[in-house]
Amino acid sequence: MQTIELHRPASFPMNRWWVAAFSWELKDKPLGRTLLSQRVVLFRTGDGRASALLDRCCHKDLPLSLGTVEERGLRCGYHGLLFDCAGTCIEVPGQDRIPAKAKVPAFHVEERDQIVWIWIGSSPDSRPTEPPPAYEFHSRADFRYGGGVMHYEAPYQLIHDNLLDLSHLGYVHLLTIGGNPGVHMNAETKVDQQGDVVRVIRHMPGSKPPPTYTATYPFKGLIDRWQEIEFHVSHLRIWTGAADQGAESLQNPERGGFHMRGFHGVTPETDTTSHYFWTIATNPAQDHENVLKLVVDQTEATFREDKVVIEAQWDNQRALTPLPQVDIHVDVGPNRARRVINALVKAAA
Amino acid sequence: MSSPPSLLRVRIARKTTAAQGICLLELASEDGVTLPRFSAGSHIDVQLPNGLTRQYSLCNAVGVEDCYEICVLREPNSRGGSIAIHEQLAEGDLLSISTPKNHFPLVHAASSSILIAGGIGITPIISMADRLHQAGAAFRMHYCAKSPAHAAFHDRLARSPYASSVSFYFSATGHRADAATLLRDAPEGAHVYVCGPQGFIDAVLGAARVRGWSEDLLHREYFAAGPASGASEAFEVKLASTGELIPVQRDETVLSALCRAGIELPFSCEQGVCGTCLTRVLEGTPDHRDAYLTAAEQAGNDQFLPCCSRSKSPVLVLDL
Repeated sequence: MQTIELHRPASFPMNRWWVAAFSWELKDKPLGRTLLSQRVVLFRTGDGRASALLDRCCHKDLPLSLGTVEERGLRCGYHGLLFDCAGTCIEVPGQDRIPAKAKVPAFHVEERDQIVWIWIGSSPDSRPTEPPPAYEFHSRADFRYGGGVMHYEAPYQLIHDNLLDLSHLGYVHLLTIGGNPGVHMNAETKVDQQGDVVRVIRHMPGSKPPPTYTATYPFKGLIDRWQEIEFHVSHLRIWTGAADQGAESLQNPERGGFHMRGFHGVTPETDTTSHYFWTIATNPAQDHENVLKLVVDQTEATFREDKVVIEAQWDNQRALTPLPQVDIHVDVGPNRARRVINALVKAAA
Repeated sequence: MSSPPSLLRVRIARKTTAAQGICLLELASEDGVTLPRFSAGSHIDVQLPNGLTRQYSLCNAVGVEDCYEICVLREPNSRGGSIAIHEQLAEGDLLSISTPKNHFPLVHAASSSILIAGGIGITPIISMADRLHQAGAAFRMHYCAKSPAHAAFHDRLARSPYASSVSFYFSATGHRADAATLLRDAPEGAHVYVCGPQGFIDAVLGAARVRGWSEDLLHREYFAAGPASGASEAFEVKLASTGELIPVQRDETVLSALCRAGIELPFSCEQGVCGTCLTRVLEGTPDHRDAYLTAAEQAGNDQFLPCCSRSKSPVLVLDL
């Protein structure tokens, strides 16, 4: 198996797993996607195994994603060259000899908990050094989830900034998970860092429930809300929820109440565009189907509200010569994440 | 459903004016839980409607056990916590509060005590006076305020059984106290308890130290008006390139002290968030108050953020 050589220095953290797709995206057709500036084709063969190759036929450069998936591999849509999961050509229609050089670079891919992870290495012999991350909320019986894939015309770190700072809820998300802006901007925020993992924890006791919350859970009045954001370079896990005021201790990791568990796989497409793989899982107290649909719909609406902001930021940044930003208190978590990424990019250079 | 022990739901049973710009709230238990008893000097965390949490000392009148009494000074130049209480909260409103905590306790073995209150600092001090009187312990109280109209509990103190042990000082009438006066004639080994504005506390403690009080006899509680900041002492920074020593006063940052001395540093957020002013430290121990450096980087003590961080050592040598 041959890892792709890079043509230029990496501008992303390398030698790690990144989210390439959700399992349900790979059915019977190949999926072409650019990940960390690399053109990749993802496909699932008859044995159910997910694979990824460089999206380029070694014959005449056509993207293999325009081909077809067969039992044994991926067939190019131009002249029918068939490649197996390792990128080796196993059939050239019309000739017996298969040239030894008829090979397409393959990527290490592993599926776990409905997420398709791809290993992006910085050298030809880079191999996965550990399994990809697990994500229990796609398998636990007490949670139901839904999700989607979005494309952003913006660099991936702007999405990190947005997810690591939820103080903007009261201004950006008034129709969904917002609430009183003062409560969000004034909430006590703790930022903690362990290695490359950055955690931002915010508690908002005695809040008025926002529209999404009242629609999905029988709160009695005011609520104690929390947001716990965990940044892992390739993805973020965000636990948000609430309990009736005073009913639960916000220090207890096993606390009850209404929970939303968000998975946010933010994978750079290029330096200036991104893929956003998201799911939201919830623990409905009743009426499971409708509650889940409401939560998923409201979550998607929330992300669309964010997308407008993030793409507008990038559009401005692109149009104006680089101007210095002035940070405020909400930027502690985002700045830690940026420092982590800068250090990783520098280390791989 | 009963609340976990750390959080209580209370109702504002009464809201009255205690003095000019100061209101008194009586908080009664809402869900039938008996309010825990508390030691003198205790405070509670109160969660306010605008999302802020603020600490208030418990200043119950003697014998009042079925509610908590707190006093709140209206501070116009803060993030609005006290303004929210004065203007938005009313009798009947519900609040979430913590159980009492005490970071300012009385020392049981004290042979005598000097209680010093500046302004709203009276709130923990009056509880201490009540308790010391109940215990038959010797004490003297000094209460500094602008005027009787500005002094919460003026009447309560004047009518108390220990009124003869209380001295008032009203700056508006020219009867200003200085720290020396407050500490004059103190018995040997007396403990000093002081609460009030930061400058007031620092002046009292400074005067006490100069008169030979040892640290174990000095007790204080700061009320932070805005974002929490620890006590700030004056120190100096030294520029490694020239050897020039620049003093940094208690109420200014290293960054502003350097600016005043004509030394320009890049800066931006002025809060220890962005890292723009990051400066190398060659000698001395920084007192890190930023949110930018990791714990490991702070522990290295070879760099700091002058916009907010200070010094633990008398001199900090900077790579400037």
